[in-house]
Amino acid sequence: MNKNLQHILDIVNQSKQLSEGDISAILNYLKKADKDLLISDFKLERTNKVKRTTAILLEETIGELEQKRAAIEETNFALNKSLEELKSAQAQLVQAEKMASLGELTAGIAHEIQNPLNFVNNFSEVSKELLEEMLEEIKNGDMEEVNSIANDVTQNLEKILHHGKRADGIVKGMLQHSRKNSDEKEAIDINLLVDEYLRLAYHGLRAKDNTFNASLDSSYDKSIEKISIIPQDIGRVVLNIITNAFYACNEKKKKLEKEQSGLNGFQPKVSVTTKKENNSIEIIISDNGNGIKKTIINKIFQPFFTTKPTGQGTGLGLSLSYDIITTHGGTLKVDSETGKGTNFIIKLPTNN
Amino acid sequence: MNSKSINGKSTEDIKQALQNSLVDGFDPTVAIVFMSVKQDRKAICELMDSKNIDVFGATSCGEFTNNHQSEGEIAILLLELSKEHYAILFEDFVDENLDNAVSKLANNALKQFTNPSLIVCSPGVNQKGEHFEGEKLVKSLEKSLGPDKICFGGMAGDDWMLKETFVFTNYKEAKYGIVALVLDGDKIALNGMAVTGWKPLGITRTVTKSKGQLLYEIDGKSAVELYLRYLGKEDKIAEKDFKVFEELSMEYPFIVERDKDETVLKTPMKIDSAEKALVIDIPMPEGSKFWFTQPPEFDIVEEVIEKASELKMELRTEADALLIFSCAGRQPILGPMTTDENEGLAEVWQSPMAGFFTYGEFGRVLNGRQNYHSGACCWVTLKEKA
Repeated sequence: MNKNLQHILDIVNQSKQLSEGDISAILNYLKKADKDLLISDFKLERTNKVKRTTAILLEETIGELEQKRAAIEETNFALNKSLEELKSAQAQLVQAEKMASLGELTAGIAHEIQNPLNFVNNFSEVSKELLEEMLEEIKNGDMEEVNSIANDVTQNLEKILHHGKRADGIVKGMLQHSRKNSDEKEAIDINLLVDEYLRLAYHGLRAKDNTFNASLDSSYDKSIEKISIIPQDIGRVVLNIITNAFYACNEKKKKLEKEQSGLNGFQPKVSVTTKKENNSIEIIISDNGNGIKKTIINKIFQPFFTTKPTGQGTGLGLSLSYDIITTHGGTLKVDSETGKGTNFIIKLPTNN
Repeated sequence: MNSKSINGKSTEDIKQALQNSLVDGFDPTVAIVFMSVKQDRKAICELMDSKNIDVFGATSCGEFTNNHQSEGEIAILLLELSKEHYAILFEDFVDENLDNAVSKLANNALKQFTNPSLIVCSPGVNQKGEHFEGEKLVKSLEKSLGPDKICFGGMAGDDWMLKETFVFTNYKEAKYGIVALVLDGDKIALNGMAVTGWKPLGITRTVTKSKGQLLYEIDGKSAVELYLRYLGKEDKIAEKDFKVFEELSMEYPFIVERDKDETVLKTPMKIDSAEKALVIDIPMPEGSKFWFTQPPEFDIVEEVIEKASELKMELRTEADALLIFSCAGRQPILGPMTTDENEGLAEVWQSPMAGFFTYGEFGRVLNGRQNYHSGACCWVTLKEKA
């Protein structure tokens, strides 16, 4: 018992003036007070002890968290740096993909430029001969003939100018295709754009492989009005999908040729259709190639996914195409049946 | 069902107390005996046998009845249970066949009653001298009996010697055994709960290296160094004989996530200097998430009592008897308030009570599943159904 309480207890016990009942009551109170004191002492001691230990634990934990924070900051800095490097590498890859598709275009473009150049050369040569003839007629004093020749030369020069401008247009288009993204949209006749890239893709492949042959089918909805798009971007999508379509049906042809049954009447065929819907237009590019297996069809829009042999595809074409179409507010869907062929459906809003 | 609790410093004391309890015609059939390893178990069993009373017994680490708490003594709850409503089962085992022993005991219980409820006591120390795997026992019991059956109980003690604990009946006794008071759940209702009070402190930790009971690394750092440094005992890291359980972990165990919204305390029992690892009472597998802890605050006593009152109100029931299995580790933390906790529960239920300080507890937290606990006050009431 607490010393002071014990003194009180001793005094109470020695007292002759207190009744037994009073002593018993006081004794009871003293016991309770002693218990309360005991509990208070215990609580005080424990509280101090727990407080000390808890403080150490928390201090150590705070120190540890501080170290972790510094480490996370450092990691964060390194991650940001890596992210920047990754972005830069991605930009380089996108540019590489552009240049790769430009490569596919080159042969087609060369073919396209060759035609006007032939005209320019031929008409220049004819004009030269006409001018020599005109000089003769001037000497002869036959002014009627001179006038007639001069008219012919003028017509020839108009044709040279026309074909020169056409070549200029093709070169400008090529430059536009290869330049870095600009977000400028233009009102474009989608039928013309699709047709141009269909021909470029076809001639491009023919130039690279003169055994390549495919029948081209096109059906353009003439009611489609000009829509606002970034032409070089949509052009790149169309070119990519058409080139893939040619590749797919050409691969099927090569496969069939190796088989015993042979081609059995198979003819590679790519068809392009445009359609006007309510508030959108559709470009459907179809091939009669081998189709896409169900196991990989969900992966074809993933970056770096390709079924082409190493070195023949970046695996970015369809991924970029998907991004371009969705950025235009449209959709890019695929519908394929193994062994029969594939349809790619580009849907673009007309009120973009 | 009538019941009475008695206590005594010796067999002679108990003999006298038992005689006194029988004067009014009280005719007990079961004695739930919690007694120190220093006491004469055989003599107590013979005494009960002479009165035709069945014994369910376990050694203790301190024992208590209404208004009396002791160390090294004997506490008994006497129950006037109809012989048809209970059975006392006993199985001994070696560590390897614990599952078989539990399964056998559970099947026997199911043979006795279609809806058995169990009061169970197990050893506190296993054959290797380590802390007994209470978790394993509970899981095995749940598997054999089904998850809806009710079990409460505790792991026997030996007055903090941590060497030999015993469970016993009138006829059998074992260091490695299980004793169960199997009650007919359709006739006797058991209600109770387990409450610990330890709270997580600081950040979530992860076990990054462990093997069995050895805990090597926490968050990639030495577990021994981290534990001692964070709890202010950095100067003891190099000390080979530092008694980590007595001086630290009894108060600052780890708290580990388990089940849904439930945690369990896991306690470093010693330091394995050769392995440079903490030896934990219950293994902490790699990947376990846990926290350092803050010991229960003093209001835990009121919380335990308040929760009991709420349950009593909710169930609108009374109790014929109360058993308390209170972790031996609560005494150093709550000091004299441990007595208040036990007395408070007896006050709520207004019934005879007996209990002991255990090396582990079995029961359910409020609305929880059947589980092993550590650091808990686990209480259960017995009430004969009308």
